[in-house]
Amino acid sequence: MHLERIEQIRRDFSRDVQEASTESALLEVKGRYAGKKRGLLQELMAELKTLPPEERRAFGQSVNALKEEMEAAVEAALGRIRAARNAPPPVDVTLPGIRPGLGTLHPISRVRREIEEIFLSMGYAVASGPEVEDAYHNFEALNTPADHPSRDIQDTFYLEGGLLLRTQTSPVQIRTMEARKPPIKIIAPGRVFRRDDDVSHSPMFFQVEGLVVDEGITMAHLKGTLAHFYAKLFQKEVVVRFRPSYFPFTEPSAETDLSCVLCDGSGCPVCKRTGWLEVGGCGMVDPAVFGFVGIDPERYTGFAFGLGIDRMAMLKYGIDHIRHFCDNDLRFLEQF
Amino acid sequence: MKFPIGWIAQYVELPADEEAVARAFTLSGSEVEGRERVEGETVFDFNITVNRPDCMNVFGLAREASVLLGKPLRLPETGCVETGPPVAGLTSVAVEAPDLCPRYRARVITGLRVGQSPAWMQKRLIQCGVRPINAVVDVTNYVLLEMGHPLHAFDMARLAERRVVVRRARAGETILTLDGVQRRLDPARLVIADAVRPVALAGVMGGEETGVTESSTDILLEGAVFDPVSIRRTSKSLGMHTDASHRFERGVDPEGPVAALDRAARLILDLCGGRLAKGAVDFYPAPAALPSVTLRHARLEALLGMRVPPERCASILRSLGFGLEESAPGVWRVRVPSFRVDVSREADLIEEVVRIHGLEDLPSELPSGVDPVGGRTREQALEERLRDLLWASGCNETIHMSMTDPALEAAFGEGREPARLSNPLTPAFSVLRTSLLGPMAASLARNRARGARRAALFELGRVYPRRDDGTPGESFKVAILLYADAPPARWGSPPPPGFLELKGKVESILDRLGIPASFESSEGRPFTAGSCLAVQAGPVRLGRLGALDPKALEAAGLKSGAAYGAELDLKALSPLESQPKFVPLSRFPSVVRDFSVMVDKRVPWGDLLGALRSLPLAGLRSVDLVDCYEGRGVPEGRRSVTFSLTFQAADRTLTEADVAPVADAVMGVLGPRFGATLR
Repeated sequence: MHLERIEQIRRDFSRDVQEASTESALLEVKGRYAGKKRGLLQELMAELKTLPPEERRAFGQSVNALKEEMEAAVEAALGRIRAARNAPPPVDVTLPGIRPGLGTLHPISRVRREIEEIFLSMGYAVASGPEVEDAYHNFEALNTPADHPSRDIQDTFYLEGGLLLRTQTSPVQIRTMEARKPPIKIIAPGRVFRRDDDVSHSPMFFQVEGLVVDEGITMAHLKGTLAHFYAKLFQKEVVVRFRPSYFPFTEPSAETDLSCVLCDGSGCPVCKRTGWLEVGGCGMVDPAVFGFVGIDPERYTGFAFGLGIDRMAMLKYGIDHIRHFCDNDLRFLEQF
Repeated sequence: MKFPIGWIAQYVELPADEEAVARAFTLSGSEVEGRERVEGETVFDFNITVNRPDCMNVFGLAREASVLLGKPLRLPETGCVETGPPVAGLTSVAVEAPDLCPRYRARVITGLRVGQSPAWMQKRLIQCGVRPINAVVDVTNYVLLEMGHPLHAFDMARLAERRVVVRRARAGETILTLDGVQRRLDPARLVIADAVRPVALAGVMGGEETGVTESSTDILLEGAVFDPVSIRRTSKSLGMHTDASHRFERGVDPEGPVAALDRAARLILDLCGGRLAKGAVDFYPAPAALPSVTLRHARLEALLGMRVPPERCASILRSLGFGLEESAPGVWRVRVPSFRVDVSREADLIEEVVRIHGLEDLPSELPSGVDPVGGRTREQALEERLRDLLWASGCNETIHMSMTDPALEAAFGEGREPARLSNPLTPAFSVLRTSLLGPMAASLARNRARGARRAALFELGRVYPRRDDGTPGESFKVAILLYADAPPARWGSPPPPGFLELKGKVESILDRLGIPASFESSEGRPFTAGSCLAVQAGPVRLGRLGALDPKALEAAGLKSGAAYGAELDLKALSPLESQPKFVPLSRFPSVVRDFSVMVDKRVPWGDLLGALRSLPLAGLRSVDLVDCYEGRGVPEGRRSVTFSLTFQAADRTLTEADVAPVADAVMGVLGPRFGATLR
């Protein structure tokens, strides 16, 4: 009979714990059943004395077991109630996140930075100079005299008054060499202007030119530098090829060809199926240029190279038209 | 420049593999840009660099090919039979401008019958893009293409006194050139004249009246050398660019006229009959000595960083036509042939060896050494930091052209006449911008037309204000442009930006750079009156920000929506950028007291803030605006302003007693001065 009573208490307790929805209700239930002073279990234990001696032990054990059960059940229920109280309100977790609205860097800035980082890590300085230039720094000091067909290689924008918009960042090289003596190891990124407007040419675009002048600089250094740079920029092994060419300010001069980074040289529309991309000019600094800036060509030699940032960005990101860069369509900008 | 391979192959044996031929040319400096079939044969389109006029002809290319492929070079046939009288009896040449014409050579053929040139010659001309005219004219063009020296033929019957004078034009003289244009001549222009008037623009184009036609019977064949600068100036000033001027500009072989005239004479005699006068008139008073250049083998290898055996260097140069003799061990004295006008220095010879030897074996090495200046400049680093702060604050970076439309510049610029391009591509890009905001607003309009209703843009770039002397200066600016046009709400979109969002961006960016800035009311284009602030760091003007005037926006093509712009000067910002300076954390808790006051809504918050800050309240750490509210519960014309004052002492915990007098002090100032009442 007593065991029945224990069972009944167990069932009642279970029901009451289930129904208790708050912490205080739960504690009240705990007190009612397992409380030290007036709990039902306490009352039950008091009746131990009325039992025959041979039943006392079993009875006592059952009550104690129930007491432990009750305490565990209350702890568990308390834990659940507290967790639920601290939990955030239910949310449809498949909804789009509310974004803080980060903007974007222009792809030209991204690629320019990458290019600068590579050269900075090779010990270069980043040089800059005026965009509005004079004919001396943009042409004459670069061994491109007035009234010479080599001036026709680039179409120049002139300003009323005779100044011009620089057609290359090479004037920065001249100004750097005028300002300080070797060793010189600079890149000159910046905007340049040419009177050109078609599918692959924009009147304004971005170049990076490099110049290294020191004792013992060789064309092998030029090749090594470009090979290292392009491999880092495109994150893959590339082959650099020099094709003899002509620029007024370098001798020997070369066009730099890069194994096509899209098809790895097997041929594709971007490289016009040749497997090679023309990426820019380069060469050893012409002694005449050293003459203009007062550097002794017997003691010092140097190399120079150029490349187009727009072009690199088009290759890296698969952009189809140079016009996008200055059009600033938000649908374009937001892709970067 | 187009040449058929078949013609080149007449002078050097070419392999059947056209691809291989193209590659050999391309890798040695004469790039084959394109290929087409003309008159049933392959024609290569060469991109010949400005410094190699000797390659701008069939024979020159054959000479290159013979070196590249190691094949013997055949020479054009120039032998011609002189059956006529001595040339001195038939004509004379007077050169009155020897500075512009260092050599003038002429031959005379009489009694010929000019017909059409034969099919094989016409084919060659057409393949090179030249139109056949008549046999004599065609021969001169043929020889130009074949040997590279421009020739001209005159109908002697039309030359007054059957003679030629090479001189500068006289004031008032004109000429009708072969293209049918009557041209007025500048006295600087070099002309070929007869006894009376100019008959040709020397080195550029012949005259209509003395040109050889099918009725000509006696001709004078001219092969001359003209000063490149003079030809170029004439060509540019008259807007005339011809095959002849193209070559003279780049420099012709001073010996060229000899073989070219003989070749032409031979061909003309073959095709037209006639009698070739004996000898040639040759004005050539100062034959240039062939230059001699020293080449040091050690220098070549040192410059390249690659080994090229001396025997290889020597054989390359000899095969190209240079004469070598060793003047000292490892040093050569090199004689430059007359047709290489581009070679005069050691560096030029090194380039010759390099391009024939090839650069496939060039090693790949990295130079050691670091630039002593190294890295970025302070301003460059600030630019990049600004970019990062701006894109992180939600703006898209734009890059616009430096050239802009005059109307846009007038609406957004500083007001002075902008610098103007003298040869713009289009009027829309004909002046240099003095503000970044104009071009940004214009592309905003384009974006709006494509459906955008919201934008947050930033740009870093130069503007070019005109200086007092009229030249354009360069200033570096950073600009922000916020735009909203009642956009449809989209999940998670922030509210449309307004004046305070723009101000907030500027405040937080300057704050992050450690630049203490203040704002003063300002005005002027392109901002709306009353909504413009100048951003100052003490007396230094950093820039301005404000709501953009709808009239300016309209000039940019934006007819609806509100836009807010800011433009700051980088040079002003750069020296002010500062490092953070640590302030020790107080161990003592702060006390915050909130106040809600009702005040006339025209009283700017700035005035209340100024008054509160000037109170001598001990331990006051900050005054923070909590809320500004108008509407329900607030009387008409007034607004409720809630702010909190934060107090903290460095040395003890503040007590109620410390803070109690604050309320009286605050209302003691705000009440009388602004009519504020406590809520």
